[in-house]
Amino acid sequence: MIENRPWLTFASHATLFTGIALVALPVWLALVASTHPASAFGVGHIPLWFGDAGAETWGTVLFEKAGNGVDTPVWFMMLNSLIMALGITFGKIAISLLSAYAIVFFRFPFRNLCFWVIFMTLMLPVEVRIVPTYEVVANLDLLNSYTGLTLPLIASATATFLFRQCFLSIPGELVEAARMDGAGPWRFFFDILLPLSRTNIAALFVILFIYGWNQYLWPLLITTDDAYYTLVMSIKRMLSVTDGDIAWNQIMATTLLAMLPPVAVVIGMQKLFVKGLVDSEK
Amino acid sequence: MTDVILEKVGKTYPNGYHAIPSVDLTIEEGEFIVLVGPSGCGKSTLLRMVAGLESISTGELRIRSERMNEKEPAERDIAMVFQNYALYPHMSVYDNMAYGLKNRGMPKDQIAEKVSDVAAMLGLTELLQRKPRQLSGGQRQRVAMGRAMVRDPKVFLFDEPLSNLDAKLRVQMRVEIRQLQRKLGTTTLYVTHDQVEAMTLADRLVVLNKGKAEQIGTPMDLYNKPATPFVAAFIGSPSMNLIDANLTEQGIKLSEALTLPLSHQHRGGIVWEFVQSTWK
Repeated sequence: MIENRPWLTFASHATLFTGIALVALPVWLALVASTHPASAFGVGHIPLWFGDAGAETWGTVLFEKAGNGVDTPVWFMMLNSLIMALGITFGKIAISLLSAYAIVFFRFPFRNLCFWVIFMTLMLPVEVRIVPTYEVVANLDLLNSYTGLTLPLIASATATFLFRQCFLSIPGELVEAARMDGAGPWRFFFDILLPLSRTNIAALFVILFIYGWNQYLWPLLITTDDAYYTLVMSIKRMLSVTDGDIAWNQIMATTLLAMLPPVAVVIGMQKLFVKGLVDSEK
Repeated sequence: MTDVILEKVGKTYPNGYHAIPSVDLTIEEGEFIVLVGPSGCGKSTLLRMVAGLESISTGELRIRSERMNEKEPAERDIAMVFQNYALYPHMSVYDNMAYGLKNRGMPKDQIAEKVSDVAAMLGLTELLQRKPRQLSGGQRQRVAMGRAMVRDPKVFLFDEPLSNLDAKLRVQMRVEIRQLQRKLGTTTLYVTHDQVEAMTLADRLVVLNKGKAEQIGTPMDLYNKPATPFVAAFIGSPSMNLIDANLTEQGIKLSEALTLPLSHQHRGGIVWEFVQSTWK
């Protein structure tokens, strides 16, 4: 049905624009704030238009030091964050792919029990088990290391569950055809299963990358060395200045920079992401 | 030369269900055998046991006089065409056909030659680069057959391969399957519930009922001389009428009023006389 009702068009567009404005306003304020000198915020009102200190602030934050007691430059922390996020993402995907593969395609005793045990870990996120996990990581001498940052976060019940559902939807005849074609378990996994769950992997990649990138509590707890600071937790450190003014311009610039990689991942993988969640072409 | 021998082959599931008590079957080389029966009679199970997708509980399966019970499906030198074709959706037609050969470590140029030969035989040459989803049902069916043919197996196994096609295409593919099988001379085991398919394709038929082979014979044998009432009722459309009667000295007594004289030994004759007497 084709409708031509100008008022309806106008109203829906107005609603959409208001929504965009509401969502984008904080980002806009952060962007504007990062272009003013630090002294501009003492007077009590927020500037709404760009100042002239932008290039200087961004340059300092990105390449020299983030400021407010954090002496590492943002690019370096970005690298740390990236290593952590990608480590978590790839680790989670690899482990959950394998465990889902075992649960769906192999017959072994207590198979269902295994699945439910994995599933129950959904109730145990890092925040709940943080003290024992810290203890374990400390005993293994993994504080202040990339392994310590990623390893405790890698196990994933959600991803295992998602892959299990995806594998269950693969018809049994396909598995049998592969057996007749002489594909052993590894061949089947790499030649058939991985390509078939490509879009699901992509969708999970987006979700898990953002999850990994936004990790805050865990890195805060186990890194005391500047060399392992991640970007998200550094913002918290920048805020806790005991004396003197908080350099809001630097914080805003750092925050915006911290937002960029997840945004880039979402935009870059949008198509695959939607396909992976909606599509089931098997 | 005998090709496939099933000797007292039986299947019992772990839950105790006796799917197939015991089946004996000897298949000559190049023969086209059709397993037919109502749904749930165990015909697919029997085929999958030959394929190695189901374990054999009792008895022995021999292909070219080699015991196969413990062999993996890929080691039995057989190829199977599935009901839903089971093509790998992410691979092109070429890759679908080449996959089994690749896994067997055949050199690339040899694979290419084989695949293009078979594709030419099935009229798939134009479609080799397409993905299965870009093909029609009939074309998918051909690819599934091509995938089985490239390997030059000792035995073809078909599991209701035509049941997903429309009626016209089904008839056409039926002819084509038979022609290809004659040309290649490969021993074939074919499962169907469609008796027209069974009667037209088979060199010999195996009628299965509740896991038992009721009769094994040529289509005409089964039609003219059914060994059991089950076979008699199962083959033919509309199906044969069966009427209870008593055999007495005077003849066959259908009721108090009607007795048919025993003039022939032949069972087919009884049927004939009965038909005559009703028309009188």
